[in-house]
Amino acid sequence: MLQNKVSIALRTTILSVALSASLVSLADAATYHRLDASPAGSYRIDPDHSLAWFTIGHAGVAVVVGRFDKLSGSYTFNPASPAGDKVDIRIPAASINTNFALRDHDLRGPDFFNVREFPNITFVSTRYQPTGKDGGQLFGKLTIHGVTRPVAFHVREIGAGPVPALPKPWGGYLSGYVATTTIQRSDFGMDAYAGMIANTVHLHVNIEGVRTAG
Amino acid sequence: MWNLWQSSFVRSLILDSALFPAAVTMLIVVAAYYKTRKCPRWRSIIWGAAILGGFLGGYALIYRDLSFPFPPRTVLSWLPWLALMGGIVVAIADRRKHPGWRYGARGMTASVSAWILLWPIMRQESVLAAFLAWLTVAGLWSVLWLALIPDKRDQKSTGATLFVGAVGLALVAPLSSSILLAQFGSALAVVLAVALVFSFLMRGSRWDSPSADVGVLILGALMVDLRFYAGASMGVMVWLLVSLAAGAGVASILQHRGSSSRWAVLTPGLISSLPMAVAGWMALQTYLASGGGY
Repeated sequence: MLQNKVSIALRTTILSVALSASLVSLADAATYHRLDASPAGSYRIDPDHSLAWFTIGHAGVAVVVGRFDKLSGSYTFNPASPAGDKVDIRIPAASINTNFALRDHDLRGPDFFNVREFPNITFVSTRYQPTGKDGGQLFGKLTIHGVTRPVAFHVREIGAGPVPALPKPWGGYLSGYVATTTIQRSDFGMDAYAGMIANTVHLHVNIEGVRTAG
Repeated sequence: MWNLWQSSFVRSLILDSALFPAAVTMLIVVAAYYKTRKCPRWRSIIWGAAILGGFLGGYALIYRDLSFPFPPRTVLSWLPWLALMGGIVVAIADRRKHPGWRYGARGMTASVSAWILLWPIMRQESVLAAFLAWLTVAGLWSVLWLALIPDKRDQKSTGATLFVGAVGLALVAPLSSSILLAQFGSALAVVLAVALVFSFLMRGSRWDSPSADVGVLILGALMVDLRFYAGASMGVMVWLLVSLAAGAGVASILQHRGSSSRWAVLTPGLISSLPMAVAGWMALQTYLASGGGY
C-alpha cells in the first residue's frame, strides 16, 4: 500500500517536471525574432502600427518631437524588379500631435500647416533604388502645405513574412519599413518663427503593411 | 527688455511688422507731399498709396513672399492682389455720379473677395453650407464697408476705426493661434497710424474713399482668415465686428451733427476700442483656459 502511494507520488512529480519543462521550452519558442521572408507584393498600410514623426530644433537649445496620429496608403515592393516599386502615403495634417494641445492648435493654423486650406500631406514615389539587401533610396514627391518638392527617403526594411493573429483575427502576410529624410520647412512655404524654430526637419516614417496581393 | 532686442526672433518681428511698414508709409507720404506741392488735388490719393505701399512692404517681409505670384498659391497670398485690384475697382466706381455704382462696386468686391478667401473651405463643405458661409461673410463685409464709408466725406474717422480694428486683430490673433496674422494686423495698424498722424500734420489734407477702402479690404481679409483658418472663436469675432460697427455708427452721428474737429475724427476710434477690448479679453480668457503659452 505504501509502496503504491510512493509510486504515484513519484509518477506525479515526474509528470509535473516534464510538463514544466515543455512549458518552459514553449516559452522559449516565443522569443522575438525578425521575419526575413520575401517582402515582394502589394501592401495596404496598417495605420494602427504605422507612424510618421519628426524632430525639429527649438530655440537653439533643444529638439522637439512631434508625430501625426493618422496615416494611410499603400506600397508595392518587388526586390526582383524594383522598377515597379511604388509608395503612396497620405497623412491628415490635422492629426499633428506634439503633446501639447495649444501648440498643436497653432501648428494647424495659418502660420504652419494651415490644415483648413491644405488638409493633407502626401508622398508619391517616383522610383526606388536598392542600395543593399535590406535598404535603398526611395525618390518621390512630397507635398506639404500645398507645396510639392522632390525628396529622397532612406529606406530600411525591418522584416517581412507570415504573422499569425495579425491582422486580427486570422493573421496575414506583413512587412515593415523605416524611412527617414531631412527637409527644410521653408522649401514648403512654412517660414514662421524662423529665429525660434529650426528650418531643418528630420522626418521618420515607420510603416507596417498587410499584403493585399502577392 | 534689452535682452528681447538681442533676440533675432523678436527683432525681426518688430522690424517686419512695425518699423519697416512705418518707414515705407512715411517715405511715400513725404515724397508725395513734395511732389504734389504744385498740384494739391493729387494729395488726396497719397494716403491710399501710403497705406497700401507700407502694408505691402511689411507683408513681403512677414510672409517672405517678395514675388507676389499670380495666381496666388495660398489664401494669404491673395491679400496684395485683393487690396490692389479691389482698391482700383472701387476707385473707378467712385468716379461715376450715380451712387449705385459706389454700392455695387463695394458689394461686388466684398463678394468676390469672400469667395476667393473661402474657396479652400467651401470646396470641402456641402453646397448649402458653402453657400451660407459665403453669403454670411460677403453680406457682413459689404454692410460694414458701406457703413464705414457711406459717402465721399473725409475718411479720417474711418481710418481711426480701422486702426482700432487692426490693433484688436493684432492682439487677438496670437491668442487664437496665429502670430502671422498678428504681424499683418500690426503692420496695418502701424501704417494707418502713420497716415493718420501725417494727415493731421498736413494742413487741409483729406482721406478720400480709396484710402479707407484699402484698409477695409485688408482688415476684412485678415478677419476672414482669423475666423476660418486660425479658428478664432465666434464670440471674439462678434466683438471685433461690433467694434467696427460702433466706430461707423459714431462717425455717422458726428457727421450729421456737423462736427469736424480732430476729436470728431478720433472719437469713433475711441468708442470702437471698448468692444475691441472685450474681444481681446475674451481671447485672453480662452488662451489661458487652454494652458497659456509654451
